[in-house]
Amino acid sequence: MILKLNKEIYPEKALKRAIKFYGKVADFRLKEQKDYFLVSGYLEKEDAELVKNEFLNFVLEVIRQ
Amino acid sequence: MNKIVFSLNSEIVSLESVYSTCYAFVDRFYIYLDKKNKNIIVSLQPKEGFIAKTTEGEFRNELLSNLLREKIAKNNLKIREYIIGQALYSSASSEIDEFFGKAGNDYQEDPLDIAIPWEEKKDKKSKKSGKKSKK
Repeated sequence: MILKLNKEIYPEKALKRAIKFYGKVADFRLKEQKDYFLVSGYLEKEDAELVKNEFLNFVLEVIRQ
Repeated sequence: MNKIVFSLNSEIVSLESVYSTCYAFVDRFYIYLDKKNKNIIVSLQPKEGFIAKTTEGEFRNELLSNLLREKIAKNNLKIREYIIGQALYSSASSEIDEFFGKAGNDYQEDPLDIAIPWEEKKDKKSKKSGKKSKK
C-alpha cells in the first residue's frame, strides 16, 4: 500500500502522529518525493483499501486537532 | 462505490475551512485531498450504507458556512480578546481584594509584625519567656 499525500495539505507532524497511532495495524514508512509525502506499509490485499481510507480520515482528524 | 471528485479554488477557499468541512464529513465518507496548481482536489468516497447523492452541494454549503465562521472569528478576534482579558482581570483583582480583606484592610496595620526589627522581636520573646520562667 502506498499513499501519495500532498505536502501543502498534509503536514508532516500530523502524518507522523497518525503513523505512530497506526503502528499496531501495520509497519508504515514515511518518505518524501518532491511535493509529496509517500506513506507505505505492507498489508493484506483485503485490508489494504479499508486501512488506507481509514488512515486518510484519521490524518484529517489529527490535523483538525 | 461512487466516488465524487471536485475541485475548489484555493484563492477563494482557505485550507483551514476545507479541513473543518472535511471533519464534518468524516463519519460518512472517506476523504482524500490533493492540490494541483491553485486547485484543491476533494475526493469523497461514501462509506458502506451511505448514499452519495447531494454530497458535493452539501459539502460546498458546509464549506461556505465554515468560511463565514472563519471570517466572523477573524473580525471579532480583538473584541473577544478584550472581553476575556477584562473577565480575567476583574476576577484576579477581586481575588487580591479578598485576600487583603482577610489579612486586614490596610498593610500599614502590620498584623504579622513584619515591620518590627528582629532585635525588638527577640527582646519581646525573651521578656515573655522570662515571665514564664519566673512563674
